[in-house]
Amino acid sequence: MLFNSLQFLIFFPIVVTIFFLLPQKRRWILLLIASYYFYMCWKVEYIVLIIISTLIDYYVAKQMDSLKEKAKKKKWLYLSLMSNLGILFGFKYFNFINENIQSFFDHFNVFYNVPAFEVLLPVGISFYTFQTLSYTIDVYNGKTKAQKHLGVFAVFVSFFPQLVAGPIERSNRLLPQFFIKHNFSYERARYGLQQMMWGFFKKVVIADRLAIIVDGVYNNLDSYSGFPLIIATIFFTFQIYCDFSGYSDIAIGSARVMGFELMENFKRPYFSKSISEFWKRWHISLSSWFRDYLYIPLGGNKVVKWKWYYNLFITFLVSGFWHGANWTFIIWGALHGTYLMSAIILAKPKEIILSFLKLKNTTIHKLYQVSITFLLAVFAWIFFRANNITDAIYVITHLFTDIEDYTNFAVMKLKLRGLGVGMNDLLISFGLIIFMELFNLYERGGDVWLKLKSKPKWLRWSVYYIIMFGILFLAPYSKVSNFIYFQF
Amino acid sequence: MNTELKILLQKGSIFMLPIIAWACIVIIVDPFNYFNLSNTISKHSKENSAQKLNSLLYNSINFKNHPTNSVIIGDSRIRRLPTQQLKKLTGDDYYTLHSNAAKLNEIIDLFWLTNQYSELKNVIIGINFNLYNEYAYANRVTDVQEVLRNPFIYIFNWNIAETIYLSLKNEFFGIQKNTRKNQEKFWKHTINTVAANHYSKYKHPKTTLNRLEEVGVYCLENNINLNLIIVPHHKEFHDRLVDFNLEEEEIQFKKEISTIGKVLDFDFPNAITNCKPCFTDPIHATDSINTIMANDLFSDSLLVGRLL
Repeated sequence: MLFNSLQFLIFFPIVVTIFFLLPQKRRWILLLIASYYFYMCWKVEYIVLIIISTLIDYYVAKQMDSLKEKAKKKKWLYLSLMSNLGILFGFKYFNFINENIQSFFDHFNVFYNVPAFEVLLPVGISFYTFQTLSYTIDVYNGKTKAQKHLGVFAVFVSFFPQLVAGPIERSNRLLPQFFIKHNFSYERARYGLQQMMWGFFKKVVIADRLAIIVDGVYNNLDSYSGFPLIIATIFFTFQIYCDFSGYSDIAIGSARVMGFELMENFKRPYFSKSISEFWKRWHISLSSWFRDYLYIPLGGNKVVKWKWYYNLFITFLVSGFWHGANWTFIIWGALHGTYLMSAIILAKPKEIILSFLKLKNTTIHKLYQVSITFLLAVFAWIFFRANNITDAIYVITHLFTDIEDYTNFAVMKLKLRGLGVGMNDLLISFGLIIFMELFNLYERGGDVWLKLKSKPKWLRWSVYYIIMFGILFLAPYSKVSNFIYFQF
Repeated sequence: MNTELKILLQKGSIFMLPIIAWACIVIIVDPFNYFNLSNTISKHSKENSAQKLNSLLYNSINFKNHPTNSVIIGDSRIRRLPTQQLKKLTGDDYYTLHSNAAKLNEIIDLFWLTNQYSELKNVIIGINFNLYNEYAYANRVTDVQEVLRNPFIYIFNWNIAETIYLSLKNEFFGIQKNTRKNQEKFWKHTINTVAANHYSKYKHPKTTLNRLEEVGVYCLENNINLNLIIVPHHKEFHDRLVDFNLEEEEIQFKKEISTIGKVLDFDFPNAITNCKPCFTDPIHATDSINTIMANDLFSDSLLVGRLL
């Protein structure tokens, strides 16, 4: 089920109403049924994968909890890792690796014929797999106790607001919340609905509008060069942000209506002053997952320098691969790893230059940092969006060609028409991006909705109506698209 | 009921009032006759605004509401093909389902759309070489189908809101006629900019041709009389093909579509293509020329056109 569907608009109020009507000790049953139903709306059979993951990790954690020796615990941990990552590998990576082996052998004229695994990628598999993995690793490390209640644990794995695209929650944060009695609170429900509304705005109004141009260009690259490529790449930068942060807002908001607090996943990432800051603000639940369960176990930065670089690079390479079985994602991850390594290497010379020019911490310096970080992120997004490496190279090599065609307004208008959009659409899209970023800027001093609470009623309701009518009128409903992160 | 829940429901209901009010306005004004329930706004005001802002949607809904067995499908160039004259010649009521700047793939989509609502007998498709290009692609008919399927999309739609505003303006302040300010400037713009946009990039439209062939086969199997018409362009526009080295591609285009159905070609050097007064702009012929085309379509002796 999609958040941006009529089905969800019916499903959600029903679940919330029944949730508050039920006694606390029965609520997990409702949440489990609702979550499984939510997932099965997409593909019934794949619920089996969630159930298998749930049962294995429940049992493994209980076994580890009952053991004292680390070595014995380790065997159980390996079982959890192998089963979870095995499922993930089978469904997500097998075909990619198989194809690459095939190409490799073809190159040397060696016969190799392992048939492809013809299945659909289960929605959200990377998300719930990482959530359950963090649980078993935490139990292994003694950071959390094994959950005794199988039903509640199953809800933890499949909790519908964050099941298919996160935020990837930690067991010690989310699990205890299922045991707390949440009474209906008007304030909390309002706060949750406001956040959902903003999430819908970002997704259906901004991301889906931008998607028309981005998809139009990136799926027909040989028709375009120059200006449309620049526009589409910049638009994708905001499309992916609005799409994913919009999803996160709807997830956090809908959980909040029922009284659950999920972790923040985005914090104005395009205002970051460095790539390392960008990763503290972008998909926070995933980057912190990689930090805690991969980067730090590898040794983090408490190692010799070359090993530190290696740890950084590997972490981002794996992060890229987590996103999808395609070389484009691997390069995207590698690029970010390279950015971070370069930042460390260049830190000292940069410091010397800035001190010499007396620019350190000046507004110009900050603007420069934000702009450079943004441009680096935009460049990396080319690989993330391109359908393959050849396309990505085409985009990079044609970004600034035929620019002269677009100095003529009439030509530009006609080219835009070819994209299925008019000049107005383009201006509206830019306007929406600016509106969203201004909203983000306003959020810098604290949560917008909490700030708005102290404002006069007419102002609050005006803001609500602007957003609501924006959702109703500016969204391209005939071109509703899936959330980008569903494919991961 | 929980007091806090009561507050939420009360405030939520108040919040929804303007949204419900808007839905009522759309149903009453209904510029595209989607619901076809209200006549508060005159047909003329509605048609003028809807044709101007979204001819494709207006014509599609109109066809759905009043289907005919005979249709003319194409872009703005076939809009003036006189249906009255066609009725005189054939006895059939023709409906013109045109869309401004329609692409060939959209014209094919429109054929299947009309086929959903009517048992077709006669189909005239307007097709020119500039449409016969893989790069000449748009996808607006699926949007129309979504609107036809889902009233929510019709009610909450910026384009519909604009059309409602224009319909009300037309109704209360009269229809303002748009006159093209500088005919000569527009002529040059079409020759230079529009032609360059059409012809600067060319790729043979293999997929679209396959789809067009499917239409041809379907018409043959279902006894639908399919006529393809290549409308005339002024010589100055047509000659731009030479600048882009596309003469051979044009010959191939005519050859390929001639296998699909009866093709009547007007876009070759003839008395019309060299006559500036025969056009309102380089690619749109005047009413009198359209009447000649209509006559040629159903006449044994052709006055201007040629059969391919």
